[in-house]
Amino acid sequence: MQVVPTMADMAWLAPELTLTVGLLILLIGGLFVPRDRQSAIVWAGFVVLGATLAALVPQAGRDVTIANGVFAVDGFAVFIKVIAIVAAMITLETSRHWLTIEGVRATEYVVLVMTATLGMMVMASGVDLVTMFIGLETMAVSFYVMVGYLKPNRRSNEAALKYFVLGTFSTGVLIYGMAWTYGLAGSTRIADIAIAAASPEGSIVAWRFAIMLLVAGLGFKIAAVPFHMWAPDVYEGAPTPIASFLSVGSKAASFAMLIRLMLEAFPSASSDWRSALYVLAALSMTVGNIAAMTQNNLKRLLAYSSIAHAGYVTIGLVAATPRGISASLVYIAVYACMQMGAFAIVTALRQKGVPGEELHEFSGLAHRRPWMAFAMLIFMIALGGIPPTAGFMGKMWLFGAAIDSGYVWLAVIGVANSVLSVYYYARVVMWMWMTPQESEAPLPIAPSMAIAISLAAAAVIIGGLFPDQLFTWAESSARALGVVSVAPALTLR
Amino acid sequence: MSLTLILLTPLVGALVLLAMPRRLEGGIKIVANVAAWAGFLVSLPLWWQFDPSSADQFQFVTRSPWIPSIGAEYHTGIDGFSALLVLLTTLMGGIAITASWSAVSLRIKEYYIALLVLQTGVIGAFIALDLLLFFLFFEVMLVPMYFLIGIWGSDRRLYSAIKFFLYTLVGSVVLLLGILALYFHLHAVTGVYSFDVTRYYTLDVPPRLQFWVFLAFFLGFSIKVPMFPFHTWLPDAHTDAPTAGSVILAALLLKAGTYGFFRFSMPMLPDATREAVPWIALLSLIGIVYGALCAMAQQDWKRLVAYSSVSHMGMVVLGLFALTPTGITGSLIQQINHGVSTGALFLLVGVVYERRHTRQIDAYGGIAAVMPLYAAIFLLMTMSSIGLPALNGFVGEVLILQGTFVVSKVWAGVAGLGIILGAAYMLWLYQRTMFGEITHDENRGLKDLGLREVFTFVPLIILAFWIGLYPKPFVDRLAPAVQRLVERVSPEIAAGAAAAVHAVPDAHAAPAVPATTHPAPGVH
Amino acid sequence: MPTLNHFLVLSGLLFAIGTAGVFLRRNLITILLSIEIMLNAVNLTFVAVGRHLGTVDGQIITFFVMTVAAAEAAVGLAIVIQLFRLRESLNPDAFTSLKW
Repeated sequence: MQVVPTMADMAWLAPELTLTVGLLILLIGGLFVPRDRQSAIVWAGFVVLGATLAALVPQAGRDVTIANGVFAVDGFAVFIKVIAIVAAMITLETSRHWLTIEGVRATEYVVLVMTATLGMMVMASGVDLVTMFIGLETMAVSFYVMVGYLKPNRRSNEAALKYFVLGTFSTGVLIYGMAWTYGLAGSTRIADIAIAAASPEGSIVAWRFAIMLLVAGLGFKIAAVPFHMWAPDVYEGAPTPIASFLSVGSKAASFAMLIRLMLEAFPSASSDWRSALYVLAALSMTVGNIAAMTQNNLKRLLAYSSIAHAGYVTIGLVAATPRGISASLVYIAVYACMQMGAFAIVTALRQKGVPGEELHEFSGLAHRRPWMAFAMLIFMIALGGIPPTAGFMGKMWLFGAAIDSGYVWLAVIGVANSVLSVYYYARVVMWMWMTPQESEAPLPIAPSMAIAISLAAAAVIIGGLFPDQLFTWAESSARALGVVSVAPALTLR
Repeated sequence: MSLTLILLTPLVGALVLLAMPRRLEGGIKIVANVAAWAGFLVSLPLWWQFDPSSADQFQFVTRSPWIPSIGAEYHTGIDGFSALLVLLTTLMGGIAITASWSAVSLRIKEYYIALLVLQTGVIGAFIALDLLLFFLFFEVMLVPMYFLIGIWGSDRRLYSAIKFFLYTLVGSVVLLLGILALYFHLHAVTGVYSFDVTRYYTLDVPPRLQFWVFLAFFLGFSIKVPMFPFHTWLPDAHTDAPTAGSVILAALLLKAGTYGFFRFSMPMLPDATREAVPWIALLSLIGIVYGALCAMAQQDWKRLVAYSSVSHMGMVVLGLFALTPTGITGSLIQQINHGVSTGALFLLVGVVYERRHTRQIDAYGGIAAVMPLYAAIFLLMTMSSIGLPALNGFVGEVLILQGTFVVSKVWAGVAGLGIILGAAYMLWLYQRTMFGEITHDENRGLKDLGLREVFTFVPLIILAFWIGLYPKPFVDRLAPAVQRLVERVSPEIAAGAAAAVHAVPDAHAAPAVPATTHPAPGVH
Repeated sequence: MPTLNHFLVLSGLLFAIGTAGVFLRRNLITILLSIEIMLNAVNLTFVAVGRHLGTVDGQIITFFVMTVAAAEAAVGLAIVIQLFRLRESLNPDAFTSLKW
């Protein structure tokens, strides 16, 4: 048994190693950067993330398991890693403005964004419970610190505390589920677990218990109802760029872990976790959307909307077909663009002495900053699932996957929720375009911010008009997983 | 290529406007007008180049891959009906933009962009032969219309805008589920993933699936039409929309609903269509009478016209679901007529609203004395709307009644009652606003129509007389499409279809149906 | 001689006690301790199962969990200290800047 990683393994780990080395250099090098040159650190972080992205390129289309069967380099992992890295890059770009306004040190902030990204990458690639756990914790601990990064700010601190308590609690639940799985399967490797679960020894109830613990633990991380109660407070209190990174990167990586666990470790128990996830999806969509309707703080509104979106993504996992998984992946990618774009606009509204997160602060934005309002309009209609945006294409394909697998009612719940959600997205649009301007204060916008917002908006529109590339890429990524071909649950035919 | 050109002309105009600085107000108006009328000009060849005798169901077909991984294509083409609708769209689009010249002064850049994008959406919906492409355009219409009502509307604009948005969105998302169900059924049967409309015309769908999909499509399209009981968004949206918005909404957006029935529901799901006829006829009849009665009770000029739309669109759906060649032809003609006459009526309300800023009927009275030209055009369009012989409304209504009569005398009778009521409320409206003493002093100084305003009415007047006196070119263009639909939905009477359709062009010479010419009570 | 089931029941009990502590106790330090109890229940499970299976995997994983728990505790205590400086309280009900 080969325990020490070989040089070949190291080559496959190039992206992770690039990031690790880069962030260590930054952590030490940052000490020597004067306080007024902080923006250089953000640039350096951006470059390291770019290099990591470049190191991913040769891995496209490959499918190997390395390091003694605990780390997979396959299309699925690459897909999630690209989302995580791009999300981190956008976070850094939008943070530049925010760091200046808040006047906090950049070094630790940038390094923490990078360690969280590293955790996400390990989560996406992990095919062993321990690897997954280490990745998850690397990400989670970084986020605990980042959420509370504004030390003198009471809301930031409370958000950090809340996220920390519920986060560690959910970690406990998850690792307890892993302990049970290890006990039942006799191994922590996904492939071995799948074999053991196919002909389960011991009590079926114990297996179900283990699966439910895993689902519940990850349910916290993806903020699915009923494990969602931390999300609104944490998003509201956390620094806006971090809330955005949390709602996209953390969610994408946790979904990757959930999808891999359910499909590769427990394909034989699919009827159990599918019914559990069905309930989770339906509840998340409904509760998230209904709660979002009454929010007047845009960060809270986006938090509830992200809960609802976790529900939409789960639909694809409930379908559990290659089409369903590829639809989930498409939607995670699309959601990353629209959610980060919307959060970037909230960040841009943050000025000295102006929080810029309440809905009424958006009044008359169409006069003050027409292009910003236009971009926000694009993100809102995309989140609502209205064409010609990528949000529509993603939702269409998710509902299609549900219908294709026979989950017609889940699709009906999904579309009903899309309509509900349009109500509050339209409210945001209404504040921007149809109410008189409240503030005459200038609203300067940094070029880096403008570029990030424009790119996200362009991605959302192009993805809505020409989604073929995205569909094809997601489909090949989903095929990298050993997706079970499961029989349709019920059918109209 | 030519269809793509028609589709893109208004969009290019919108993009040019997007790049223009907002202080160039005159330039923005000129660009918008040029784009809209250029759109009309490039669509005009459809009238000559469309060949009714062609054996192809669709002409001007463009096909290229769009999303190959799921089988969606950029597939556009037109039959006789869509050709007429595209022409109507480009014409009404131009008229709506010209009519807004002085009516809108607030944020005109966004205003014209919204109108042009809206027009692109409508044209796209009428030419798309791919279900996903159609759905895309069908929903693209929502956002600009939401803005038109919400920003440039009046009174309760925010409420009406969101009501319009959510109401129609409910319909379209359910429609999407129906489309997806059919799409996966097609794959299960043929092994092909495709949204191509023509494939579904030859697909045999099992009855149970037909029922559910028809229900989904029905919800989507009937909200758009709107049919009773889904009509409640329409009066609000119309009342609070700016004039151009109302014109486009009445003349074009409602047609997207009936067009959906014609293009998708009926030929794709013929069995369910036949099953649904009694129910849809019932809803249509309720709509006809209820819409007319509501119209009669309105104090608000625009609301009255809005309810008359509910009534008229009931007629259109009734004719369509009579499933007879005459009824369907009448229904299709009547859709064009409704676009022309109701569009004109909303323009007319807009003219006085721009001068007086009120839509209350009792704020007017005796207008004929100060605005004679206006009164004349209003009279003409009232007559067109109530179906006076020699004008367009007559042709459509007679055909619908004929087509319905052979199916059920009761339906035809109730529809006839609706027409009488229609004459009553329209003539009563005319009498209350145009005749009598001038009761409000503000009305004494009202200026009659200016040159630009007359220009917006001229094409509509020409169309009203043209369809009224010589509908043959229109009916000829519709005949093949009607023939195909009848063969699909009621094969048993398809054999006699050719004869019936050929009898149609002479219909205008037939003795007038008494109901349509009865003067309404209260006319002096 | 205790069997695997004894250990599992004990760890289950510990886990339940920890869970209850997180939700019921109104002192942040106690809540942190409750989370530690949960993680130690997990450790006990891993060690007991590992011994039952006759492999060292369970014991190795325990070290990972302990390391992670230590990292979490460091961050958690830092957050609690920061909050205490601002509010002079360890009762989570006192933190009301956000709607909990």
